[in-house]
Amino acid sequence: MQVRNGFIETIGNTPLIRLRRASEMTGCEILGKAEFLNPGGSVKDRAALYIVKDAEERGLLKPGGVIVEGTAGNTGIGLALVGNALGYKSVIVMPETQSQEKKDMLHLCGADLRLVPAVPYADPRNYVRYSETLANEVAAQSPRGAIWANQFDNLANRRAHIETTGPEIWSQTDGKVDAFVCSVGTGGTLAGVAVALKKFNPKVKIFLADPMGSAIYSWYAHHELKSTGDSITEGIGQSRITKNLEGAPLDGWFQVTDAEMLPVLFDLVTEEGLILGGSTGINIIGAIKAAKELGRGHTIVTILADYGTRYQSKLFNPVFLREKKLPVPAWLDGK
Amino acid sequence: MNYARPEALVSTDWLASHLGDQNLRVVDASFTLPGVSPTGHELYLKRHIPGAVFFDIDAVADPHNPLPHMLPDEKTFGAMMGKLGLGDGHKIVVYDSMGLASAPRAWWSLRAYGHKDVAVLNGGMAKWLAENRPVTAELPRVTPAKFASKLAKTRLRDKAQLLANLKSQREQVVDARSAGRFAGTAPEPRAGLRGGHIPGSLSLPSDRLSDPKTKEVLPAEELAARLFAAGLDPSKPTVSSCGSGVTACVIAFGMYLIGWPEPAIYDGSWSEWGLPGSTPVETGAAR
Repeated sequence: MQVRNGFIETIGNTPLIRLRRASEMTGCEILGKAEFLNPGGSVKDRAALYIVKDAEERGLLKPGGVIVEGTAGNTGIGLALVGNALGYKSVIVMPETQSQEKKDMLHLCGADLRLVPAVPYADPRNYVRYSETLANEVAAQSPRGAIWANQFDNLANRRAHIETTGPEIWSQTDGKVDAFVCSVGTGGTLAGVAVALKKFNPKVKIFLADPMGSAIYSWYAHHELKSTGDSITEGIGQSRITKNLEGAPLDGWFQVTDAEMLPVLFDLVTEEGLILGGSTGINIIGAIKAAKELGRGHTIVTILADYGTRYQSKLFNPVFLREKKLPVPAWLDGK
Repeated sequence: MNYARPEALVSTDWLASHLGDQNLRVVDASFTLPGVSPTGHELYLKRHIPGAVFFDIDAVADPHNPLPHMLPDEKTFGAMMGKLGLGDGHKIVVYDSMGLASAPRAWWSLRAYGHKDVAVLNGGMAKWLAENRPVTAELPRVTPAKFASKLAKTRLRDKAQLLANLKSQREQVVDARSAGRFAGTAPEPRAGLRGGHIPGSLSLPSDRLSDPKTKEVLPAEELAARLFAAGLDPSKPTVSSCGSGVTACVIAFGMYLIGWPEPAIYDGSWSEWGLPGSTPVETGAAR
């Protein structure tokens, strides 16, 4: 029998999907790692599992213990479900601006959801900062232990990708991967996959795709943390260099606008049957820009991070998009 | 690798076996630059694919605009197509005498006015003749048709928009003229125009998108490589320009075929931008 043992063993070993249109556009093989097929619905299941396992190994969590985290949503969903499967409770702090779909999902997972205003990292009410304070409070009251998952600076996150995502990509492409591209929130996926692939072959090129409103692109391009514009994408973009991103071996960086990435998401639905989220759109445009840089005939891998249904009320909502002066999905418009 | 939009192209084999199909209409859109003889129309009169009607690029035009063959209004275009027997429900195949030169202008125009089912004959008349396929000088009997004409204005750019774009840089501009005309070192075929190109534009001579021998459009991978080599970015919106809005459509066709977002066409092109006046002009080879 070929059986995976529950939620935990279903994480990872996701398929690598050839993206037809992006490949034909570029003369390259553009391949997407189907992280939306993880059991919690996003790439974050990997980090969630590694963070919890790491805490267990270090004796910080005992059955019935509590996981506390500040998250744009997907890591919270991953942690809550990993927690359910392994017998932990979860308290999730999220900026109130995130999509209703993700809030509903966290309630459904049974997480204790705390919404906070979307304020900069410098403000102690910031979701990441507040989650740390809250974790200390919970730990003081919880006899079974409580951890602050701290996905941004907890290197267990990056390790998940060094040990699983990177090697999977290497083996699924038979070592033919020429480049890897993705966006960063915590930086765990990009840095982890980068470290792993460069170990297999130092010639593999690593590119970062950054949404508008994030300061990461300007950090690499101009050595200053400065953001311009904004983006409706969630869970990616960053205003600082996290521990997970620090030292990532990068070969290039691109800035990608929402106006560029939305048509890619729309075409994926109507032409390839794939309903994917905003960060995936940024990633695919990143892969296309990498193809432009490398020339035809290269194999370029990126991350299909989560389902678009998690953002239906924004990404696929003509009224919302039109207000933002962004492209709208023609097949949903005016009907 | 396949084309992302294979339906935009038909092979000579396919056309030969479908000639005479009830819903098929074949269109000869041969065109030569001013002063070149024989003209596209003369070539058509001499020989064309049996049943083909002639799409006269110089006549499918706004009679009140002094610039060469600027798109006419919807009603005029619809009436002209109807008179050629082209209408709703027809599969239209266009070709030109050179292979891949002016047929894309007809392909693009028909689509801009709302007709969806249009394809270009791969290799055009050049390949058709090389394969010894039948041609005739006999004019077809045409049954007038009804062409529902609705122009999508977003597919067009005018001078004011291109001027605004110099500042905003929102759209990348690609120029389909020869490298010499782009640089300003080769003469313009239309008298009185300055030499050079729209500042910041990219150079991609339209003949680089087809095989010089067979005249067939390049394979998908090769097309992508040529577009990239010109400096084009598939994630950015594009405006295609040329001498008078004809070969700009070759680039539009190539981009469409491999699934890039369709560029808008600067219909006035160099015939307008290059007129003596204040529009800024850059000279020298592509960067």
